[in-house]
Amino acid sequence: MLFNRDKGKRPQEVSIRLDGLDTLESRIRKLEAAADDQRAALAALDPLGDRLIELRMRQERAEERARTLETAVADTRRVLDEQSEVLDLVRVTQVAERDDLTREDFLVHYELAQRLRALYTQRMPDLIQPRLTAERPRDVVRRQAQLISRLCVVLFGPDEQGGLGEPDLAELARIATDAGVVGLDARHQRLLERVGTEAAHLFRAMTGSGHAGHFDFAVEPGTPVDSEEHALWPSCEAGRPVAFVVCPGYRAAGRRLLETFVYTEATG
Amino acid sequence: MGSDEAKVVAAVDFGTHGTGFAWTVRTPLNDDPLTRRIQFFTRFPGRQPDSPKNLTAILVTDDGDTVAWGHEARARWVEALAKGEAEGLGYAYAFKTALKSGGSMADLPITGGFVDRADRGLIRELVTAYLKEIRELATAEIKRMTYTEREVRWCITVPAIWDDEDKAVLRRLAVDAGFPGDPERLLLAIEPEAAALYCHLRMPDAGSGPHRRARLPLHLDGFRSVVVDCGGGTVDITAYESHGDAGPSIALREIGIATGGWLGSEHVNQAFLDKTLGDRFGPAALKRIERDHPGELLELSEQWERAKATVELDREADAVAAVLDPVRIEVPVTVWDLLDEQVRVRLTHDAAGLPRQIVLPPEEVEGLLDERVDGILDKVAEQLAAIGRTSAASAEPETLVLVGGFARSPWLRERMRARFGERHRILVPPDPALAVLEGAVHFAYRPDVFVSRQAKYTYGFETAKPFEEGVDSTMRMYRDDEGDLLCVGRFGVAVQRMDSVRVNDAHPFRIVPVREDQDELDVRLYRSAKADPRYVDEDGSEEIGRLTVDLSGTVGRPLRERPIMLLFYFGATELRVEVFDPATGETSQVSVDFDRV
Repeated sequence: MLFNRDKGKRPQEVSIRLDGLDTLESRIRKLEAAADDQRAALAALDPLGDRLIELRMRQERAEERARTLETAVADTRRVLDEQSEVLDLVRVTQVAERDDLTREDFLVHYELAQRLRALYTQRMPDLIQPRLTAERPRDVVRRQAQLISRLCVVLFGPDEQGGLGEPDLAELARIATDAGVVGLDARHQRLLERVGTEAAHLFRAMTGSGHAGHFDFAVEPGTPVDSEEHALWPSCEAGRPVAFVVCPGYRAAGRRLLETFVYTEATG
Repeated sequence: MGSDEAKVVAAVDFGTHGTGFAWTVRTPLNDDPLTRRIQFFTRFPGRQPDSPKNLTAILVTDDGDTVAWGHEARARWVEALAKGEAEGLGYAYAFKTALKSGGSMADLPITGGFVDRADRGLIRELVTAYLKEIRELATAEIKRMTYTEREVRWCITVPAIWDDEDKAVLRRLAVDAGFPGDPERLLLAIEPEAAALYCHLRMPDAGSGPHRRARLPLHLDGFRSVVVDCGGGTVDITAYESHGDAGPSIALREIGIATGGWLGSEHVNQAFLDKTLGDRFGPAALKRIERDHPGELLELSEQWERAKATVELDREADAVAAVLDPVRIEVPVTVWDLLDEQVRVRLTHDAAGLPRQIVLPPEEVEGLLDERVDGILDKVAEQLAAIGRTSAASAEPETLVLVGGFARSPWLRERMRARFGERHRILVPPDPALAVLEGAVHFAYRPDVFVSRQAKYTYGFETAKPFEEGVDSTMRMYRDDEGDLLCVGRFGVAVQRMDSVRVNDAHPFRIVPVREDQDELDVRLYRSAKADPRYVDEDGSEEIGRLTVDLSGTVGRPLRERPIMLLFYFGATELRVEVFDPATGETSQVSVDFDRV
């Protein structure tokens, strides 16, 4: 207990306490000075704080813009995807609707054209040979071409009927045998049947293909031979005008698949 | 753009005689192969009337510029010869045959002007020039439908008998011609596979058509087919067995060994020129015509080409088939005028008074066709025998599928029927000349349709293995940095001949460098006709290519920490190799350089 202690020590204690107060006062002044420094520093930081706030606001605005842009990009992408799908559909439709493109179902016409060429240049000359031998014409090339021209008309129809009439097999036999005057041996008799059958097959295949076919008999006599449109009948002379059509050209869906075989008169 | 984003698939059937191009659009409707609509290009420049194939011919200047290609090249070449304006021009036809490595080219390609057919470097340049033309034409056609070039996945056909180096050469030439370098955007389709695919996907079911035209049932487990692809230059014969466990896909396993030879239609045409014309005109006149009138000679050959595809046959039951009619060939005026008077009189007499014509009696036609048809039948018989030897017995006899331009020949079909028809079903598509082209479009649409192939050779590379005393020669002895005794020059087998290899399966092989400071590894690829070759330099082994593996990332490490995995893909259309480095965990593609051999 303080009052019970030795009274002689009190002045010393008071002095110590007063010294303590002085020290405290000095510390307070230092702290106040430090606080002033801090306040000064904080005052210097005020503009940066504003800048920070501004930056925060700008960041928020930028984020907002980015969100808007992202939405716009997503929307644009969606629109682009939709447009791409539409474009694909348009392109697919465009491909589907083009009638100048060759599709698988048309390819048969190339084969038919080759068979037709074989009929013209191989089978028909062979079929007409017995009659030519019997007739012994002075101009055998011309006569052969004339007879084959008549065969083509009866097999593939005249041009005024669109060139796709039913093959007239009776007339075919009449021309080949000169109305029965010329006898055919067994091989040529079979050839006659085969030519008739092949013409009938070709007629059915051409008319049943779904693509409009057409035999082209129309070349005016005197027309210059056009190598892109016409083929010279074997043994005919080049550089001469067309005398008559031997075998018709063949077209399907507007495309020329076989040239028109034409006869040209020899010079002299 | 990845290949899966392709909106259009386009195929080029690059043939010896003719080349065609077809394409389709990738749509949900076209995803079903039964309803898929394919467009065939038919309006080639200078070709009248139009046709789905253009001639594989090209006319170039000695500066390397293309004057014309296809039928137009032929026409311009003939015109230049006629006018005496061929100086500085070079002409080549059927030059695809020169791409096949090794073997005889027989009498093809046909060349004129400054083009020497033995000059393979020049022939390759012509291939590039030709492919460039057809690519540009095809691209223009596709662009007309407002598709871009980047939206196209391409496919070019290759014969089954071509080796990996032949395919690599074609790919390089195609890339030089402007086709994409990305292998996912430029596929190579093996021609008989493409044809088989066509016969499976597009031919009617048995119930809806004549038996001979019925669909190839590749979806049936164990079904076997032999595709006989009779083209202009070569005939390829390839056999397949189907697996029924592939779900909606088609799983084909190649059986037997792809075989064939120079038995194509062009060789029959050459026999016509040599024999028919040689006998009638006389060798001296024929030589003069070859020298002075090659265009007219080509015209004669083309007439024969058409006629032989349309001969009619006597097919009475139990009788040997025979050609029924003579074949008539018109002789061009310029050629006729070159012939001796005696020859002209004889020919006119033989043609029953018709001048400028040659008439081949049916027996002569048969003889000319049999020049190659006999060889084709023998090759088919060999293939069937090989299947019998190397594969387990099958319940059903193999179906023979006849495709290619020469398959249009009724004589070839009939001889096939007579020799194999009793035991085997023989299937010929409606247009056998276009089956490969259309099949290639289907393949490009879904390249994963084939799941496995059979290795034609034993493939591997040069490696070092532990030295075996008394077996390996001391000449091959080598001690590595860790003191192990090795035998160098050993054949490290990656896949064995006749092994069935799945298209997407990697065949891994672990290799280790022999020095710690080694920063790259030069791997030499070899093949052998033997099943288990020991050394890379023994008889039957041949180096086919090289690849370089980068090891710089592990230099200095102990050898045991530097293994590299080579992943070989032997089942794809082309040989593909990847390198997996366990140290880095990275996988990279390496290309095999076939030209360094």
